[in-house]
Amino acid sequence: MKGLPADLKTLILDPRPAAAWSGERWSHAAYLAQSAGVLCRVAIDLKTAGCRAGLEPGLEGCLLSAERNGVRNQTLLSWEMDRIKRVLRDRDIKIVLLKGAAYLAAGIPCTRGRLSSDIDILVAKDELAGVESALLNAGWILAKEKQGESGDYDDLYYRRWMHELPPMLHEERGTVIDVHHTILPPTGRVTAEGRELLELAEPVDSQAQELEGYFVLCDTDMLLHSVVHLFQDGEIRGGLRDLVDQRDMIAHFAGRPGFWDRLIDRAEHLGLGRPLFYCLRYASVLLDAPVPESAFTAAKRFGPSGSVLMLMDRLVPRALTPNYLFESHRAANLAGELLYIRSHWLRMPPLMLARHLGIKAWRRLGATMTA
Amino acid sequence: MGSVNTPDRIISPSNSAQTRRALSCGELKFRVGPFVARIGTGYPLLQQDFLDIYDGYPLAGPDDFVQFNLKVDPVSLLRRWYRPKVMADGGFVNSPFVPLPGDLAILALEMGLNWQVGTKSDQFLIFHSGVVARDPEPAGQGEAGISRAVLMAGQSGAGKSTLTAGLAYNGWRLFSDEFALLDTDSLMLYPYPRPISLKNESVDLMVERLGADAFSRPFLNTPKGTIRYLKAPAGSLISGLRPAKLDLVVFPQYGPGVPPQVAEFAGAEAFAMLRSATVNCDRLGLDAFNAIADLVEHCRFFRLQYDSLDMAMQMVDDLMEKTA
Repeated sequence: MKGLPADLKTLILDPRPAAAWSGERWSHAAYLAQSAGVLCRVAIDLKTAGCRAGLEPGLEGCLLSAERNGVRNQTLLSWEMDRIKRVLRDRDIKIVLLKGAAYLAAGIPCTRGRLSSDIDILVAKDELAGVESALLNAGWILAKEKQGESGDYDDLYYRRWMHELPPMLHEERGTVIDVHHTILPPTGRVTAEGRELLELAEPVDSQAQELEGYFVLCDTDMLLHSVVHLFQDGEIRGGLRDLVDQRDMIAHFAGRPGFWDRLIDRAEHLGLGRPLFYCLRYASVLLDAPVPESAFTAAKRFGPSGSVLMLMDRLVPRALTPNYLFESHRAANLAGELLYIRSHWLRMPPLMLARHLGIKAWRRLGATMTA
Repeated sequence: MGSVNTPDRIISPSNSAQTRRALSCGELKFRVGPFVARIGTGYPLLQQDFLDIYDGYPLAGPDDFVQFNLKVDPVSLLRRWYRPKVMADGGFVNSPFVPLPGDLAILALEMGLNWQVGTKSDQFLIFHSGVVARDPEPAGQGEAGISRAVLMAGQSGAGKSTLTAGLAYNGWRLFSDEFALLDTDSLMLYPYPRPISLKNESVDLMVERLGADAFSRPFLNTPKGTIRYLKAPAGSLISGLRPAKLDLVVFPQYGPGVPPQVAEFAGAEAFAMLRSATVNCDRLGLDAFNAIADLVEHCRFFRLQYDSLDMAMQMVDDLMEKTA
């Protein structure tokens, strides 16, 4: 299997050797790290290791810029959690933070320098309407209104078929919130019950005022949610940052008693064995995630047939590797396209997929004609 | 490109064949102030315009770190020949780049670079403004060996670029007509000398003063009307990285027939005005706030109203003299 570019892997896992790299080598590697959304992490890791002082001023400037971005993003994220809590606290419901907000709240190492573009929360399905109207009454608007699109189809699509409400945007701050009721669309080959996730969710263990009162998914579910997002629901292309999150979660949780048995059982129970299989495989091969042999053995039964696996082994690393601007990337583009089609295939039944892609294509055609 | 790494290598007519080749292979790396940019384009007209307005810019060596990467190419094979359209590509998922007619390819490059600097250089607190500086006399009079800068902010159309251009060709060193780059630790401004984009009436005014040789060819029917790029004075490119201390902040306002006026202001008003000129204040947070507060304490702030470029230049010269 083709690995990640060696320098990118070094930057992600332990960037200290990079302090001695040439400018040319850095130019290439920093570009890839930036594309993969991990340059802030690299900047922070180098600073923590005390390796930033002797760097060329241009490079140090670029890293400082990335670092400032990461710091600001965390500040915004914390503030947003504080604001959302103010709106929803009277409802006395379990609000589970997902993704970036959850990693911050749970202190997962990948939170350092991680840029979140929006905030994701999970609530019980019968609370959806109440949460939506509370947010809409407190300054959030449906994101499509802002864009001035005739988003009727999109809106309907979300409400009827998706596992989340259409994104909402805060009118003044411009921040986006996604409200989920489960972690996979109810239309897909695999679905997961939101209720089961909520049951095991744990209160955030933090003194920080903006986090108090929130919940996060339990360790196995937190990892599985990211896994599902990358290998089941998402399109893999451009998803290296998600795999980095998973690697860090694996490293963070691996030492907990019984973690691996619980993980395998939970994946089986929720029907998420296949995506977990892919996660363990690619996180360990591409990013040296510390997955014990016993977990590989146990997850083996979730794997696909030999020929599918061979295909995935060719496609996934290519689609996860960011493209360098000055290199031809036909193979990577093809891999990305194929995995994109796969993601839709997994997301909805064939007829519905045909209808959905048909409507999308028709609208795109309309837009081209009027442009 | 060889492995020469000396700062005296510059883009010039004598190596235009090499420069074109480097552009074609996406290997051209050159220096703009503290940044190195890597540019690729296989579009001959753009190569020609690039050679013209970047004449005299230092080439970067193979060991310099490249912060900005940009390709500008036709949007398709068809559009290379038939009603040519080109588009900038920096490899970003969300960039505001739009296709432009082939004749305006250099605008795509200029906007592409400026957008990257404006959105991805948070090592600096950036002001949307023109900057010029006075370098110390060789004898080392005044504040020992420090260059002193004036920052010109204000709404677009108020006359910043024209005033910046006038001063840059009249005894001042060009820092930028677009972005002031402030290091928030040292409070020093760094030069970002780029070709100055002049629009419509300003073009005629400045061509008359400086002669057409200092300019690019005219670009007609751009989204902002007619544009000509005024080349950065050679002296501002050679002095390269030397930063300057900010002493003077002015908000110029050109108006035909208005009475000349110089009005000083300070304190909270100065803070608010300077804050409103920033590009990335929110992204820097506390560092930006502290830097602006320090500048408000150490600089003098003026509103200038004038009806001729000469008058405005005289005002800035006088103010700098007094601020010394």
